Amino acid sequence: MSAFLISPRRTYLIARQDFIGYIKTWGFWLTALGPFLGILFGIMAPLIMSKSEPTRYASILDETGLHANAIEQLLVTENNDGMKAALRELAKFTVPQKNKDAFNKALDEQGIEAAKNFMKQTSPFLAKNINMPQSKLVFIPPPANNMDKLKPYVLGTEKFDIEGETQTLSGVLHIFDKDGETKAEFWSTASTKNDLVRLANRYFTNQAANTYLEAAGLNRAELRKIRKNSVSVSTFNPEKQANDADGQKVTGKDRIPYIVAAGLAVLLWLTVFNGAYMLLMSMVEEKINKVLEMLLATTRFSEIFLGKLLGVAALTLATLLPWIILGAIGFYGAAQFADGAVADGLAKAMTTEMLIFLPIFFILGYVFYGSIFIALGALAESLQDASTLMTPMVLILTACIIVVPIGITYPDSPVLTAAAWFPFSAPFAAIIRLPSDPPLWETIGSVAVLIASCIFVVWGSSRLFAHGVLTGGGTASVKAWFSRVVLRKKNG
Amino acid sequence: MLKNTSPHILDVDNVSKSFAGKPAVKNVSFTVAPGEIVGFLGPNGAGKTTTLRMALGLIAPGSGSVKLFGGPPGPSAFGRVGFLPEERGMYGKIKARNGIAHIACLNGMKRRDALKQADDMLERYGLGDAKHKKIKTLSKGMAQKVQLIAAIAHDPEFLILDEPFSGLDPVNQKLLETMVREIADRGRTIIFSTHVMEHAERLCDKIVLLSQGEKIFDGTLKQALAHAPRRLEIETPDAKAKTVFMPLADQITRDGDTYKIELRPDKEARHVLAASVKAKLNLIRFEPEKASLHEAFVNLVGPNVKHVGKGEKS
Repeated sequence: MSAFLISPRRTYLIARQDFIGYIKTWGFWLTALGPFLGILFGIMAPLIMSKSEPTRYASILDETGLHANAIEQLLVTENNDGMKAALRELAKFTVPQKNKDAFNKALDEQGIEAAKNFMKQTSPFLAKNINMPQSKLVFIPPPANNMDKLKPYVLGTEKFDIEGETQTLSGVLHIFDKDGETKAEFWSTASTKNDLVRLANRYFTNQAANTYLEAAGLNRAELRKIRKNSVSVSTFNPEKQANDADGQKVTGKDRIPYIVAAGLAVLLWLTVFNGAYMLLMSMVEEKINKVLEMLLATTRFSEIFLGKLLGVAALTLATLLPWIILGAIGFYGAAQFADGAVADGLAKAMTTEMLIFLPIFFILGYVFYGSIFIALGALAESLQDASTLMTPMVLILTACIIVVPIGITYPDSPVLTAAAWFPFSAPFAAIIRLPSDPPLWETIGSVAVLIASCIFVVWGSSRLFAHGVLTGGGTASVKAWFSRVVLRKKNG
Repeated sequence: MLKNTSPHILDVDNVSKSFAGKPAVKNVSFTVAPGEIVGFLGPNGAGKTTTLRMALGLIAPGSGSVKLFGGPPGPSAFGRVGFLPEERGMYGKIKARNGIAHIACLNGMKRRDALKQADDMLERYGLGDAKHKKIKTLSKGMAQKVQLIAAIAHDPEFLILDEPFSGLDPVNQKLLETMVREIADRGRTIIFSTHVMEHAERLCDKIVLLSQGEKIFDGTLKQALAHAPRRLEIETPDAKAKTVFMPLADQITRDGDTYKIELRPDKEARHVLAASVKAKLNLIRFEPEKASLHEAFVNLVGPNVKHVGKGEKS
């Protein structure tokens, strides 16, 4: 069949043209660099906002004399806890697994500065360049001894000096007794800055709980300890080998393969969606440019078809490269720095079956959907046409993504088994089923169904493509083609 | 590559093609010999584009056969044919030189050679300034010239141009005629479709005329012109002149002493001259009018054809 004979050079030239044509556009680079820009923005924006936020001075006017010091102390404690939590998170990516215990010990026993010094030794570059944000709320003694005299400070008409600079008071927390009850009021012109209010509310809530527990001869520290040591239900799986590191107990790492498979299925879905959309747009653009007929005088249909599939596959790969790099960094980071169980789980996710079938389903899924979208693009005369023709396929693709949550929650679901045999959902469903060790014949069956479907779709799409390119296309031509080619109503 | 054992570059044999039950081409046959410039004429919708697409193998004939370089059209002829389709267009986002080089590479040229050829040809045809411009920024005429250059950059043996003159201004139509002559002078074979007779008249060795999907003429330009009404303009003060001309003419119109005579098909100008001499007419002027392909076309196609391109003169 001459339609399936291809010249590698011409196919390469078509692929190259599609790749180069898109890679030189702004849209491509925005898409490709989007993840990095997003992450950079996500990291930098809070830091910049935090750095640019001025220090706010506030006072507590405590007429009861019972709470001011405790509230100030709570701020210090929460700042320290926040800093410790941030350092622990940072340590996941900067302190190697073998040094984790020593780091945690330094943080718990010697404090924040010791932990920072520890981090500087293990990852000097990162530790030097990451500045931990400090709280911008600073307490100062009230510059006046009653609320009436403090209000001009809050309004900014009265100022005070601190460390040689004139400052205004951002707010005053006024605590007083009235009718036998303790009252608290916050006076400020900046009504959206509520962190001192929240701090005070936490303090009073804790205090109320402590008072209640102490009245019954109890204390909160003991309660926390008891809750921590309460009975916890463990899950066991008899299918697991008893001689595994965790025995037959189900741990977090047992779920990792399902999560990894779900991630890979989503990546395939994104690849298909992204690639298919680019193929459609590329076809529509070339139809609008009217360059296809000229190409057909020098190139086989099959070469244009395959060239486009390859060119857009390369383009999709380039678009997804940042995600792949981020994923690889995540894998590396998890293996190097995360809990050993995570590394074990990741290793367990990448089974031989996964390594063999993942690329197969990626290729088949891409070819299956890509071929359909090429044909749709060839039939479209305009972007509006493309949108009309694409809508049913987008609905089908969107419906197929439902296999991902099913795969995580119910990997043995009959819906998932059926989806693995249905060509539209098979690439995603089959990948997500792999961690639950389905019978090999079922996985091979999915591959066979997809191969047969791909052959059929490529054949049909090639004919639609030829028809669409030479007849001008349009949605009406689909009907004409169906009548002529599928129903075999001869007229020529 | 197939060895051409046929004496013809293109051999279209009794091809027919229908779309949605409507015949577009009916039993058309013609040949194109090496080195010929063939004009493929006919009104809009005559089936020219469909026939050329079948000649290239882009669509299969419903019946009949096509041989290109002695074999079936299609991949075996890639690189040997240059094609300018009726639907004009190129990649809009790439530079003119790259667009030309891309098509030339698909036709078998090496990229470096293709780029050099693109630069040379753009310079030669007055588009030197446009070589680094994106095609979508060029004017319609310039973009059309870029596409034509793309079709010929690989120096094909056989050039198929579908309505190459349409959309071009008179200056560029003239330039295109020059390009076609240059290509033909290198021994290349050309077939071009048009519905503007003047181009065919100036360029073609041979004419194939289609109307409503059927071939109605296939022959040399001289043979085609023989189908045009032959006219004479004669000035004589003799009152008996009309009586002398009557047996030889289909139609006579008189304006003072000037007679316009449309000759009968079996008569020649010499017969009128002989009759005039025999009748001793006092001839002041005897002037045969040059036959036009347009008139031959109208004569062949018939009076009902509405799309004859007389109005699209260069």
